[in-house]
Amino acid sequence: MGRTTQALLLGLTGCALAGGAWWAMATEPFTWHARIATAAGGLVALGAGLVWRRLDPPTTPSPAADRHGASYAIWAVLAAAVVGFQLHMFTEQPRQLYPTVSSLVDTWLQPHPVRAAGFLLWMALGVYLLRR
Amino acid sequence: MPPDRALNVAVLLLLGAAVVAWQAATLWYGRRWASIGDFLRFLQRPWPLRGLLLLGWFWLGWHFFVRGSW
Repeated sequence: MGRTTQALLLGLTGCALAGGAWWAMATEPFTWHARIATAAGGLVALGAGLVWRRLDPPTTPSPAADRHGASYAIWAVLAAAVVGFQLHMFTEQPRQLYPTVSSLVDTWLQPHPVRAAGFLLWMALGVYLLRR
Repeated sequence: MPPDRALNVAVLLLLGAAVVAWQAATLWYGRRWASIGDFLRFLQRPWPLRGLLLLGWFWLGWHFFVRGSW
């Protein structure tokens, strides 16, 4: 496949994904349209991750990766602190005094272009997780 | 935690800053410390944990994009 064809395919895929995300985020919350659009985006991301993994298999972790015990522990502590604090905020009321991350970012996620970009970012994260 | 919005937001920001700072430090010091990518790769080695991570990812999308905030 030539470089021009590759660039063209990449451009078309990007346009299709951006269009799909724009459409998906135009759906009304809590409706079947929103559920189907989000699930479809998730399935596309998982499919892309699987195809990428098959075309370019991840490398086996080097022995050095197993010597990272201390930094894995630090990551685990940080993750536990974030999740624990978030759960604590979630169980307390009122939300105005005990904000969760989602209650804080909801306002920023309101504009349609931001929601579409967030949706694409979420899909990219899914591809990343499955591809590794 | 006390019913103080500013304090609770500050703790959340502090935790976020700690994550970003630690990630920056791991990248700065090269391969001496595991980055968040290495940690995710480590977590995904056993398939049940990989499944849990993917479920968490799916829940995140569902939470933000089905529920909406309009």
